[in-house]
Amino acid sequence: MNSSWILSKITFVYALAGILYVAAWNFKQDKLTKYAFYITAAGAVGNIAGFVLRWVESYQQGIGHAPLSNMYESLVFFAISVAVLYMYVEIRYKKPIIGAFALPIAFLIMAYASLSPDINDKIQPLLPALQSNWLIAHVMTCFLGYAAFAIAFGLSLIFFIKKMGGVHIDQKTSLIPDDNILDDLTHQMVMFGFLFLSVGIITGSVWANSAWGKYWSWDPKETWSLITWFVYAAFLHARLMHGWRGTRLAIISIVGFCAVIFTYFGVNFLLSGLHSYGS
Amino acid sequence: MTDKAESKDFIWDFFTSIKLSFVLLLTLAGTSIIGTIIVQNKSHEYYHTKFGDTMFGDLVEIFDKMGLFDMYHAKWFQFLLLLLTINIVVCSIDRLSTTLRLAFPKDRPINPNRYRKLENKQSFNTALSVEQAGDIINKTVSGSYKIRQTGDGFIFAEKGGWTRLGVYVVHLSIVILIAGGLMGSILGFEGYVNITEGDTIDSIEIQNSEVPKKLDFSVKCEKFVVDYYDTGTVKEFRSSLVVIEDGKEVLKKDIVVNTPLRYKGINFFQSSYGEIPGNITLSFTSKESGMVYPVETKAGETIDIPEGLGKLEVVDYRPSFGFKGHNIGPSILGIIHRDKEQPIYVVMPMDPNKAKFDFMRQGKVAIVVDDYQSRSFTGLQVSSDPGLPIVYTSFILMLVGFFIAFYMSHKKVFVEVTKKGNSTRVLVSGNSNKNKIGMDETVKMLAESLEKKLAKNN
Repeated sequence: MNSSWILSKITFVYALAGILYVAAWNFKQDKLTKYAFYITAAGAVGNIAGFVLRWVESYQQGIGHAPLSNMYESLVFFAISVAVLYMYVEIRYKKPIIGAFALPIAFLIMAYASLSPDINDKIQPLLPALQSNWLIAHVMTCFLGYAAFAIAFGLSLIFFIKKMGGVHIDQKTSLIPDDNILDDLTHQMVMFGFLFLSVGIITGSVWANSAWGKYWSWDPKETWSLITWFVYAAFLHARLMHGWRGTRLAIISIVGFCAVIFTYFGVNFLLSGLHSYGS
Repeated sequence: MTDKAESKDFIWDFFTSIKLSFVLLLTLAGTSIIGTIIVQNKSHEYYHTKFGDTMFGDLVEIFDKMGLFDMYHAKWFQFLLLLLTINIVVCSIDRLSTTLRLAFPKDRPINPNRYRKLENKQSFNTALSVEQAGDIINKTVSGSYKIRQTGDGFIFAEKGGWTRLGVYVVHLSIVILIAGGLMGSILGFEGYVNITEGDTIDSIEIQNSEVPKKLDFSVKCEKFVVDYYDTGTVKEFRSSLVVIEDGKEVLKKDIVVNTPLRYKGINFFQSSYGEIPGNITLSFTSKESGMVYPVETKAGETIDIPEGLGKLEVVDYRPSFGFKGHNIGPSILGIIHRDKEQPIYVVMPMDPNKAKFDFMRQGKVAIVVDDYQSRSFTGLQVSSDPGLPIVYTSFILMLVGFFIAFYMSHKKVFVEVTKKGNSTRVLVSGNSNKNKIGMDETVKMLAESLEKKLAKNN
């Protein structure tokens, strides 16, 4: 039993939690969400355990480093961030239906990490450029930010599904957040994500300066993170200054998450640049 | 109003428009994509070969004119950044006075009715008299809030007005960031230098410039080493550098990828490495006579092959060479030229175990590498950026600003004590400029703590 084995099983735990959340929504069974939450918590604990174990294993192999150095490891941390952040949101806002969107995202991330033939789950030694203490700060902050944007994306989807009549507002269940809570929560998530994306870009800049002598070189990864930053900056300004709410804001949130996805995967697989560790 | 004043107003209105920031942010986001798709800063030939056969073939010149091959430094892109900067500054100035008025209000009486009707209001009864309760409430609230107004049976208090300035801190940090970046690009430089092991340099090559830059000191590379993991991937590139100034060694440092050498504001970063070919000793074996002739040469030279068997052009040294799908290790490549014959390409592996390699070619002469001396060189990225401290200051300022702007708020609370029958009724409510849910909790907690305090004093 090793970390990769544990982590591959976590995929199914998240899948189960996601199914329960979706079922709770569809069949209006509030009770199911309680079990879904416990399963999510179990998944998150296992996910973190796998992460820590992988860290230990790398030391046992004599190439010890934080497991944040390639695509597989970043996906694992991404899934942890989504699950933990979602649990925080559910505890604080008590709107478990968001889990019907957050958990499938956590599931997809782990499924991609464990099942895709493109993703290598071997523990590899650190390349010279990655041997820096900035690695941990940079990767963790970026992915916490991405996780918040992922949840904001889920919230925007809920908004659209509501809008398209997929949900009857008059139903008795308290599962569906009303527009104000949806709006507030999306805003909270985007602020959190924006703060962490900024810390991620800044730690990346400081690191780049110590490794390459330039804090910014318009490399595709850097540029795409900045594009993402611009989109969410537009989101925040549209909401606070224009007073935008609802549909238009949800569209920007979705566009922003597309930029996140491209920054994360698109740049690694489609464009070339300095930031090629992930693939 | 004169025409001049009108146009001035027009410009001011244009830059204070929040629509402008929104449009600029999205335009910057959209246009930035171009430079991630077209590889930047390559040669003209590169773009012609790359686009030549595609539908963009005819557009290379136009793209070039638009600066798309170095778009982040193109005038139009920098103009967009300038517009954004002006927009940030003008908007901030425009709104600052209003914000200051809201953050630090002069004694403007509030409307108690508004607070009595707030949704988050909490109320409870106490056995204390209105006066007693009022005293305790006053004391408790003033512990963490500043009391603004004491009215007929109510108090109004607030805190965190200054947090309304958080967004200005963020905007200021962006302006400082841009200033720092500009300073770096004007006063700083980027370059590179290769230093062969044992050599000393005192000038470097500058990017986009023909003229090398002279340094006030010299740098010697004493040693360059590449370390490998067991798996064969690179673990470390290490250059042992010495800074020499006025003939004296002033600094010695081993640099690896994440730890540069910094001296007098100039930084040397480990970025590449390579080998400079040195003297090569070859021996020619003539098939006809069986004689062996050792000859010393260098890459790039053309030498006579003994017994009139033509000339050998020593083309290159390769650290590894693939021959018919096999890696035969470090090799020297050459071409034999003879009159009226096609040139013959020869591969001379350096591995002594492969000394018979060229004999297999079945030519008139077989060539073996007897000795090869190469020297490693370390490739260093050199940079100087006087704007860096400013940029780093802006980073810190930006994060502090975000924290204030996102997570701290201007909180106002209203507590009213009224007589209701035999007991006294306390009403607590409040509002804030952001985070409504958080404020509702604050009100609830304040009400609970007041209720406890009053109960204790009963």
